[in-house]
Amino acid sequence: MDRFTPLPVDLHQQYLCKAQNDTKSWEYFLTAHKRISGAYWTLTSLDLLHALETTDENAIISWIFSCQHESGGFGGNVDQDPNLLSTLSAVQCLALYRRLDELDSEKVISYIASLQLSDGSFMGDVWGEVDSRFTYAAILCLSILKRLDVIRVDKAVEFVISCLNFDGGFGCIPGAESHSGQVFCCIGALYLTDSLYRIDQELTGWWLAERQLKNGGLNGRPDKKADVCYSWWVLSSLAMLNKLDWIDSSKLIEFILHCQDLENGGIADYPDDRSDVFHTFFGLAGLSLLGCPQLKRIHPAYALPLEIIS
Amino acid sequence: MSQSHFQDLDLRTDTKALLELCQDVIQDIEEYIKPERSAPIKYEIDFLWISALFRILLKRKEYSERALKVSLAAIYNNPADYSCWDFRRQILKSLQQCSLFQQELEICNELCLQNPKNYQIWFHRRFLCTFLENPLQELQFTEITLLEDAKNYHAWSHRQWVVDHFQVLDEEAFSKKFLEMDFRNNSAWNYRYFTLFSNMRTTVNSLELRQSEASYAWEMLQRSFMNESAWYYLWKVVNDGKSIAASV
Repeated sequence: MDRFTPLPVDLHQQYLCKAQNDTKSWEYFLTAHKRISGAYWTLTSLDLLHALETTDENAIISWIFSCQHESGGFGGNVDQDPNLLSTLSAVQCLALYRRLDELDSEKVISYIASLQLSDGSFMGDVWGEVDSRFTYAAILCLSILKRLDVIRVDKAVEFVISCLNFDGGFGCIPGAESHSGQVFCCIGALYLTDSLYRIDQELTGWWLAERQLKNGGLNGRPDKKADVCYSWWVLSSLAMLNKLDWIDSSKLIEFILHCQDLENGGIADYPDDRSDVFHTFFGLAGLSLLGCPQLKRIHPAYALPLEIIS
Repeated sequence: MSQSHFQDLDLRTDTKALLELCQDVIQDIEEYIKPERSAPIKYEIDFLWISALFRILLKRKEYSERALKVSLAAIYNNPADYSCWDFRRQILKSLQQCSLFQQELEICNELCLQNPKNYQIWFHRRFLCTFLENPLQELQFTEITLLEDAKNYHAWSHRQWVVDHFQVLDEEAFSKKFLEMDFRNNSAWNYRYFTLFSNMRTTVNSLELRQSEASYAWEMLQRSFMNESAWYYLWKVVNDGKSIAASV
């Protein structure tokens, strides 16, 4: 029997389409400021489900460009201030639709480069918050645009290495606790800059493998509950380290499938919780990495379908 | 647009009060009302009008006390709206009044306790900190937050930032307190290592301290060997100790 059963792809597609159009929902209102990331999660999920063509491409592209500022950066929605994470989501959406050529990439590139500090780290925006997530966002964005040359890659890598902890994990800033989301960002940054040789990959792989719990799910830190989003962050990190077989994939698949809402569609953080677009994306992305035949293959570092990257 | 226009609407009293306060700038407010950003609940129309008023003041770059009032209403509607927090920082920098910074901290305290995993509020605290230079208040606040949720990543990271930025020493008892409550608390183990052995600490090369920490970790493991964090900690201090001993 196919171990990816049940996976009602049509139902998930309907859920995602409904979520896009459900402008009266509380969730829709509260996520207005980061709509562009919501778009990325929704559109990539639909593409993994082979359903991107059901979206109104021109309207979405036009709206994405209306989120761009003079500086070249993108905000989370129209009238939102520009920041790195939203800029990445915008570029990823354009890549999904294969319309990157419509971007004035020089402006975006100079915006990203302007956020790098002298120690190699990146600010999220002009207000100065530093976090290893922003390093990954900058490096990924520039990798998609094939312009890593505009930043100090060596210094960016040094900053990432400074976030490495004794347990093999990475934190948000030097000394901060290892966390699966941060590990994904740091491993992604090292992968995209061909710098994985700088770390003890066995140690980090071990820390990641230890995230799997008895219920098959993955957690973000020792002694925490499993959450579907870590199915992506931990799994893609292991994939980048060529250690996907270090976790029990059957048990993880079972866990992700149990987090589905088989009535209304979508995937939640934990079994019997309410679905949302964020966890739907990460659940589907995790299943894709584990080889689900009904889904397109996703790239572990780019978090976009493989066919877009090649 | 006249006062009577919005007086006829079914708005909350405080929403009407804010609109009255901003009479001089709301002529074109209706173009800022974006139906696609409406909210589903009882005060839907209030959210729309507050959001529109905030956008008007933002566009005018009005860094005033009434802008603080309006943006506060917008933030209560959606504490994750980062542009709103950005705007408040602009206003505070522009007005440069110490009392406003302190007031802002009290607002942050309230919102942070209600939304303890909100990135924007924690970063806003950091901004306020650099003006107020109030490490003690921040240590007290992070402790309150951690007593609610002992593994709140933002609270631990913020406390670490405060300790680093203000060169606070003597945090050993703090991590110990949380480990007594839960000897598997990975955040507390990480914090313990950071506060005892990170670069700025005079104890960074202390072999004796590492020996006593190894004993401490071993003692905690006696309570249960199923303790991933304690094993990592023990392994790290023993390895550090070996390197230090070898270099002597």
